[in-house]
Amino acid sequence: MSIFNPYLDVIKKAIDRDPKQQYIRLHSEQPETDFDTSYIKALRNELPGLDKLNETSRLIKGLNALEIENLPRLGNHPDFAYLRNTSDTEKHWIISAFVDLQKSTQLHNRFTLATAALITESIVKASIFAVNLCGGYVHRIQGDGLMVYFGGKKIDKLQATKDALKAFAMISYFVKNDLKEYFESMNIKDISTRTGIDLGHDSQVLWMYSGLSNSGEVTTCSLHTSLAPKMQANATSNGIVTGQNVINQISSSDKYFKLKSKHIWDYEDGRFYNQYDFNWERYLVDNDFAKQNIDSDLILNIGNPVTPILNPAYLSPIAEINKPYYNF
Amino acid sequence: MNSTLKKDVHNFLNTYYSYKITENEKCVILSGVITVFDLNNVPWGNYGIDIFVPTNNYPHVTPIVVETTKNIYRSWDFHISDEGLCCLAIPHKLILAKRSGINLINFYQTFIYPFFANHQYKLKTGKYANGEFEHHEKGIIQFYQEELETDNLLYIEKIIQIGIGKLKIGNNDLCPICSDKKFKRCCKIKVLKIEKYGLKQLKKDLDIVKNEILKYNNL
Repeated sequence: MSIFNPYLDVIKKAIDRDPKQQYIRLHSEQPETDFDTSYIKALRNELPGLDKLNETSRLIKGLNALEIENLPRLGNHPDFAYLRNTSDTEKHWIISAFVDLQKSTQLHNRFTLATAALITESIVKASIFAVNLCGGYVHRIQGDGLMVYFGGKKIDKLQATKDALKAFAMISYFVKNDLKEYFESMNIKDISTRTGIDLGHDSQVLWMYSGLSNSGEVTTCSLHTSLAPKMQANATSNGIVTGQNVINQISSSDKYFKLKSKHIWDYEDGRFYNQYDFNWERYLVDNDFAKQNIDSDLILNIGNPVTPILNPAYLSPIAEINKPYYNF
Repeated sequence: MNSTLKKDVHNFLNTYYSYKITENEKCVILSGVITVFDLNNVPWGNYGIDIFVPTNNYPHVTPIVVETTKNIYRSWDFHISDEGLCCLAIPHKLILAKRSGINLINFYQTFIYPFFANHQYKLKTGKYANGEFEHHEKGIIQFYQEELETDNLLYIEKIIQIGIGKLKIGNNDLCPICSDKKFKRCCKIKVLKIEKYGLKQLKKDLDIVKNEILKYNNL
């Protein structure tokens, strides 16, 4: 039971009922007529809301976890919201991250627009759930992608770094494991995430209001915010690429980060800024956020129910490989 | 550490992330935690284990597994020694793996993980998923009975004797056991099956079978 199951269940139901998918299966050609997708509205309402976030938060942090009554609106980081509609600026460190889905456009060939939209919405909501569970702030949503900040005035920089790595590891896990397994069973191939994360220190990040009148956002101007999407573009399928500043925060960085052959930035004064592939699967296991089954598949154990239901019928195929003998 | 072991250890550590490596003169030791999951990925239990992989002659070795967390009650019924040494399988299966050369990941999935899954199964149901061999010599007899699909100890004795080479039989001779077909069309296939366990093991097994026949005759 993964914490992402409620999102996956909605995706499964949407695909299962998608009329275009069924029509293609039967007739091999896409009809011109409109399909009835009125059921989608009910499915959208099945997607978890803040209740689920609070429930999972209590499971992880205990009953004293602060109740989240509402999430902050986009483009308005709560710690810097005072800059809105002003010409003031403030220098303050932040971790910037970008994540999006690759090859999700193929959904439009297979499903009705309503189903494709619900699948995208489910993945985006699952990602927002993971980000908020780990203490991050969603700054912008663009289609199937998110721009996220980790950090603020009351957060320790090291903790924010760990939180960011955990959140994007969880999102990558969801798409690489739960979602991929189901999509592949439906012959939808190669949908994956790519993530770029970088940290800018106090002297490297300027917070400001960008825009005109109400058409704007409280945002950052920083080389490291700008480098994060470039790192995202260099990530492999389901990969996470981080900047040098991120790994400098982590003491056991050798285990999790591998230097990419090409630097991400040339300061043109003889210095280069490096980028690293993040082994998020090892990170999840090492930090006890996930465990591995016999085939080494990761199983997330964040926010799982304490007492699972054990059915020997599902253990038997693995157990019966062994026939014990004693001779000591 | 030879290059095959180096490669296998590298692949293992990059596949199962909870394991750490240490080494001594004779062994590579992989220490970590097994979490038993069923087919629905429901967790059943955790075990801290050390896997001792002999460096000499790898891949033709049999790794030894020690359960370190004492999550298995030390008892014959659980196929574990007081020190936590796990009896992963009947020796014959381990010999076959050793003779053909092991691969660490494959050994983990075939022998180690199922051993702990079966312990969980036993805790829940009171029995092992696929039955069990009796302890000590009786287990060896049971193994041959199942392998050769007979309870006839004299038949088992003959097959082992031929396997060892104590009885020389030509391919076209009449089968000395069944006496109605040529050997190559009769029991040779069973001899070939047990020959893979090697002379040393077969000699030990022959003594066990002979003792059992003696005991039976004395009754």
